[in-house]
Amino acid sequence: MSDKKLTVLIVDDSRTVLAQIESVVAANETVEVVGTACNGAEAVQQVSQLHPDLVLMDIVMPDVDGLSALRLIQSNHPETRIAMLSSVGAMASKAEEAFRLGAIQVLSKPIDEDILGALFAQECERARPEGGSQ
Amino acid sequence: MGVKFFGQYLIESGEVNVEQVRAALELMGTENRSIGELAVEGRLLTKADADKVNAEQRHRDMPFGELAAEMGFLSEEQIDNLVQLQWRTRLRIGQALVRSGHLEKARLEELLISYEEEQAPHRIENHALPEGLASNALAPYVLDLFTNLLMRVARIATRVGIGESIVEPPNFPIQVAVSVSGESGLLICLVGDEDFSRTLAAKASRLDPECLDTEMLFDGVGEFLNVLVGNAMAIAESNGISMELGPPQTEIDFESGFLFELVVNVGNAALFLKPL
Repeated sequence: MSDKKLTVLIVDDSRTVLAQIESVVAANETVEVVGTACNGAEAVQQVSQLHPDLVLMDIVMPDVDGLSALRLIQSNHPETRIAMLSSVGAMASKAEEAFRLGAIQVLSKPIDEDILGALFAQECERARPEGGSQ
Repeated sequence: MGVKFFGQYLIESGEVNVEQVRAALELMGTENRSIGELAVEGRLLTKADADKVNAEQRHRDMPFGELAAEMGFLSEEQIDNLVQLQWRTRLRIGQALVRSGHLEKARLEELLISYEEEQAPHRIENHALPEGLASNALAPYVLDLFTNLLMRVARIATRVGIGESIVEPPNFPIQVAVSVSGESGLLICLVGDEDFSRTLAAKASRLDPECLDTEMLFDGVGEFLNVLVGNAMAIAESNGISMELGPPQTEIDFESGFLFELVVNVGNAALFLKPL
């Protein structure tokens, strides 16, 4: 992964959260945002079109919520790496369901930029040809 | 550091990996009994009646207990007792990791202490509640977390006044609410002037305050409410209370409920709570 950047799709119904994550990504030269979506239905569609390396997705969203979208994406594209980033991420019931459905991390808001940075580093490392096995 | 799920804490600490958490969750799925199973074991319900409730559940999106009460099989008191029993006897993620061989029991005890220490700042002093809110299980957590979270997220110092029954709707340009449904339903609304809302939205998102349009002010205040209520729900859930959070809304019904005046160091604001 020396040249190729980690591609990220951000899914959140909050414009301020989208803008905040985009600014964190902009400061990280190994990562790039390839798309944004504001609900689960858009996320499912964007994953099919963009095939991002990593999806960062909220749980509580109007129409199709994050857990339903996680289920759909894992069913259609099981190779997709999805981390949930949500205000209800600390709730055991939500976090447990997200992990069961295939999430690789369940981060709680407010966004901890160090933890987000560590997630990007882990996923960049994993995407290297000789990368990790998680 | 915010309030977080213990399994996520273990992953972030490098104690276990996501696959091990998933294996432990699988074990929990096979060991933990549903309300229906507990009711049958406790002879409160026959297997045939439990099957009828399960069959009805396929057509209706309702919890087992609520449906069994509606169908006349269980009383409210029996359901409360079953929920408490389920909570007390539930295999938890840490125990499941020990049982799966991914964590030593002694190490789990050490990690639970570290986790509690890290989470302690999020569990602060009790707040006095008006009578009409005293029986709501979520309201105390919302109020307890509010001051601390507003300071941590937006560096806004606050003192929360005494909640009083609302007389007339508050007159602020930015008004956002989130509603929580479930056994202790609550509408939580934060209202503020432009100064307060801009400061909160900008600092919480670390964006330039001048770049935020009006929609983003509503959005930023709503996001803060989501975090506040999500964290409060996580604590309530760890005490056996389950509920669901809806997305932020700007159409707010201020009829009845309690208004808490806020003394803040930026602008003016108030918090409105209404049991649902």
